[in-house]
Amino acid sequence: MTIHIAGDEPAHFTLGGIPSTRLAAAGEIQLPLVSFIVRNWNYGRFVGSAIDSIKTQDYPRIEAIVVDNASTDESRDVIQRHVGDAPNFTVIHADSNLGALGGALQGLQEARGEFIVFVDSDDTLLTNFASVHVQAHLAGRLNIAFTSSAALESSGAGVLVNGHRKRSVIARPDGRLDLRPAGFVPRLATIRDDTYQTLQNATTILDPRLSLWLWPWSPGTANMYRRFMLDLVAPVCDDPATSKRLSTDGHYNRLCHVLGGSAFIDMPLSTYRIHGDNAHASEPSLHAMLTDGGPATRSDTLRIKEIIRVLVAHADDFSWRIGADRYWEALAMLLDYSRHTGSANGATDVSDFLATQLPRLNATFGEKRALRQLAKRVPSATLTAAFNRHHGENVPPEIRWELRFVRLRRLKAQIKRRFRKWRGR
Amino acid sequence: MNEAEWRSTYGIGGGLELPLVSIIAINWNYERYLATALASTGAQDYPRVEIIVIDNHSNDGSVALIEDFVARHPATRFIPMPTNLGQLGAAHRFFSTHAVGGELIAFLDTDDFLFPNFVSHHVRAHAAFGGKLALSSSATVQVGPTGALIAGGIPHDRFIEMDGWPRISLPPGSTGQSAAIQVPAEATGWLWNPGTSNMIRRSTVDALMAALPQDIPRDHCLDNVALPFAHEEGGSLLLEAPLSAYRTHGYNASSSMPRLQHFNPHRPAHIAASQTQGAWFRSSRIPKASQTRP
Repeated sequence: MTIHIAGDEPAHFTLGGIPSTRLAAAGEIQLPLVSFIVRNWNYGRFVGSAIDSIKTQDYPRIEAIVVDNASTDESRDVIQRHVGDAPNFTVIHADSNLGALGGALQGLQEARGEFIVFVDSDDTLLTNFASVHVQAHLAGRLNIAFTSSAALESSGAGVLVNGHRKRSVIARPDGRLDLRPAGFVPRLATIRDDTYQTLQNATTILDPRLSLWLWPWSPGTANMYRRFMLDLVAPVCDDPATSKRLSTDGHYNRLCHVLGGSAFIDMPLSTYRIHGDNAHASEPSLHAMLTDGGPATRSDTLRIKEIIRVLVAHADDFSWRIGADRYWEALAMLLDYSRHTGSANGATDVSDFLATQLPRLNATFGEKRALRQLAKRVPSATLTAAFNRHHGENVPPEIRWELRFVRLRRLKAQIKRRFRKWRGR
Repeated sequence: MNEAEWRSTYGIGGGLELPLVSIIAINWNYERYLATALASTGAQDYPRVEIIVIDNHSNDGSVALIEDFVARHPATRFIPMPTNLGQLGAAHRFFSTHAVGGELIAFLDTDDFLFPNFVSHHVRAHAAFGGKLALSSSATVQVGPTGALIAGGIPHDRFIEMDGWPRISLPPGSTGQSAAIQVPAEATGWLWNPGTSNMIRRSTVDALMAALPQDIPRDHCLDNVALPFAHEEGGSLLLEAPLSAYRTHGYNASSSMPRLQHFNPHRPAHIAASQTQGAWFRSSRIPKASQTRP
């Protein structure tokens, strides 16, 4: 039996120089719990390292949920052996392969943490991963939905091959620091003063209005999300063939960013393993996690459509939370997917898909209002085709009337935008 | 701390007599968080604190917790209300029927809690202004239901750093340099941290309470009225150090959510209620702060 004597417990953080143990009655203020959700499918040769890298985190409040997606290799034994009797680990054996996002959702049901990290079982975390991410979340100039850190590339055997993963780099304006001064923020005991300074120089908060066709984040394992945000933007599609092909970062990064903004930490905190057989050894659900995670793959039409479906399903709520302007801008940006994903019959595909989303948008905002908002931002041909398709032969007269002016509305909006930009210079 | 220790820690010389501070906790059915809140009042490192606990006729275990606290801190004044008057209503009833000792008042929402240096930092700020300050508001961290930190700050309706208001330094003492932003009374909009982050001069609270009508709707809350009223009287001083914890109950989508700058955590109903109260405040013939003073 261990006896804890008040005052002898180590303080996990300080605030304005006061140790956390003296900020409030015992146990009444503490660091957030971080839940690591490991998804594994037939990576028996890697999953042990992933689990070990969680067990060696220097952050004091973690739990892990290992979801094995019905592996047929030695994974089960490897997981058993590496988890051992660690008290804060839960292992779930799924009956079938749920896919990357499906496995994540299964894990989320068990997770209690305020912050969530999805770990791909072929990646590993550096020991300070959780500490640095939590420190960034608690010290940010703004509170944001998720943080993403740089990743090292390693080979199948774990040898470092590259210092950085490819991504869009967004520069922070000169002189702006996105973490607040150390004296005013909860300072984790596991982050030394010089590390805090490095972190301050390495962290950039990304504005939610940023183009959604940039990918300023790292893939998979490198992200730490606020739990409540993940719940808000949970996938809505009920077609298993589609949901199996969704990935966590592909789904959550853009959606969380649209709602709450994000931050990039330009410090390598995890490794991303490139192994010779990844593209072929995996089935489609894992495809994107294992091939080059650069912008091209991320822009997969299927994922963008699911993101749009989520935005539309919560149209009423989200447009209230982020304001109509940001809401419609995000939606229109995403509806531009055919230009970015190079889908075969681009514009037709977009208008067909938009037509399926119109009933919900019209019901939420009123058809005329929805049409006017879209007209400002979406090419008129696409929009007209979508509304015609939605109504079939019987387009109501007032909508037919409105549709005559969509080109004009778009032009007006474009001129307005240019003028604002010009005036802002 | 005793007075000498306090003066050397917070850098306040012997010329000024230390003011008595009243912490007024107004509780209604926060049994779950009440003990933490009360303990935080008892743990203040400032030597001259009066603790007042008003219970708004709770029907959970709150009263037992308060009685337990009073047993351990006999100087505490426990004021049970005969019925739930709402937060503003209870404060108004209390001020109309009781004398308050403190020259400075801190209201405490019993789901939040104060850090041990809360009163000290606020007193230091008021002392630096020679008692001319009507209102000081400090930064706050956000915690979840179990006390887990979820953010190091809480968003204001506007970004303070962008307005170019003067930043002033407070006497450092041994607690380190500490700064505050002085916002002139002309500035409008919501400038303050919520409930448990503010210290108001008693004469200002007295003026407000005297000006309020008798029948106050139960859903009206104190800071919506008291903070703009005090600000109008002499502007606000915003302390940059976080000195209290603001609790968000529940991190999931179904209940209230952590506050992020880019994301509105409130429900439409909440905003509507605030607007209703704003209209009530303007129309209930409350004279401007300046008019109530000679």
